[in-house]
Amino acid sequence: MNKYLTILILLITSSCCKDSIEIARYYLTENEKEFIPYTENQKIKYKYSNGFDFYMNVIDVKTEFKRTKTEHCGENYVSFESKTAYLQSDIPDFNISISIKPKEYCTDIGIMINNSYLQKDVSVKADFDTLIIDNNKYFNVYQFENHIIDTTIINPYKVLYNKTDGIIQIIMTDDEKFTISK
Amino acid sequence: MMKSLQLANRVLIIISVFFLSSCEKECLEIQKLDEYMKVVKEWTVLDTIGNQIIIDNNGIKQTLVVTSRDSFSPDNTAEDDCGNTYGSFLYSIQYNTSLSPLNFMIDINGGSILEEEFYLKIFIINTNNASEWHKSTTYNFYTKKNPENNANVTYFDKIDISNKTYQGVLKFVFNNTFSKSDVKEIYYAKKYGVIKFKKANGNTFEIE
Repeated sequence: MNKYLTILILLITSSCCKDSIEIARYYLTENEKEFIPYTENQKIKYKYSNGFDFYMNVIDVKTEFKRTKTEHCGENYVSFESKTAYLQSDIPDFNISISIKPKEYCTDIGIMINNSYLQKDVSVKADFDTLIIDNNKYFNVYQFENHIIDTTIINPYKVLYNKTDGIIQIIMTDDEKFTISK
Repeated sequence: MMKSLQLANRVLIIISVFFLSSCEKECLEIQKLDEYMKVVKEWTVLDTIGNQIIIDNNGIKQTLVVTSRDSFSPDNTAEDDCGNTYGSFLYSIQYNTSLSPLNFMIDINGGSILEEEFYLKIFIINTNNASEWHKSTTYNFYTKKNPENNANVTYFDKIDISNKTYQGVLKFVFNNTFSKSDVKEIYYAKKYGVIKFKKANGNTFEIE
């Protein structure tokens, strides 16, 4: 009887999954968090190339811990802090998320504009020290790019972005632009 | 005795007539089916119509992208007791809007049941995960009705959009919308497909 019980226990314990272990935990630095300069309920005015004005609403900003996906039972994982801002506008129908992770995990900021994804490594020097757009001067501007794009379709192609204003300009493949209004 | 026999005969005749009439199947109305099959096929989109630019009330442009189109015409999908067979027809076209998170799928169907199988059905899906919704509505070419009763469907002989005249247009106006960005109205033209739609917030998008 004891033998059967031992075999049963061994069978049960051997079929159980080992606990996954967190092998690293990365935090966002204050400098990295500043790359998402949005606050909840903020309204930001933008202008389309033809002069049409609209507001982008910041509907949520959250900092949370995430972990890498594990494919197999007992696989180890990495935890990392992530800060994301969610922006929305009614006309045009923009749903935007901007997300940063610690540079030890990922050096890119990702911007999702509806179904288009644009990214940029912000651990390096900005693309433009200064940039003048619509008579406004912007400093340390990064140019995000959409790498998977069919230029015959009107889609977000580039985004100009900095730590002070966030999205300064969205450039479409037909060269029309959505620009922050100051 | 004689009376009983007469009664039995009558009952037998009535039962036989009832039995025979219940066994009889209606023949397919081939001529009428052909007529409506021709009608539904007129609503398919020309192969030369591909991606098109759409422009909203505020002059903001995006692309109405044709993501797929298929046609399928199996033979002999229906058979009657009069020796007739009939095929069916299914055409499907799908669109995405390049900026707005919308997906349109249109099915055009022809079959062998006049009241049910000759229709144009529109599916609308919001592809934004944050507020995912989908809905559909139908126009039956035979009954000229919307079987779901969820939209008001009007047929126009012609409609002008951006200096172009479209001959034969169905306008669907949904009774309900889920949100401000939900589609309230959609226009579908013979041979050209989706040519216009209007959101619940009033913003209208038209083929340029």
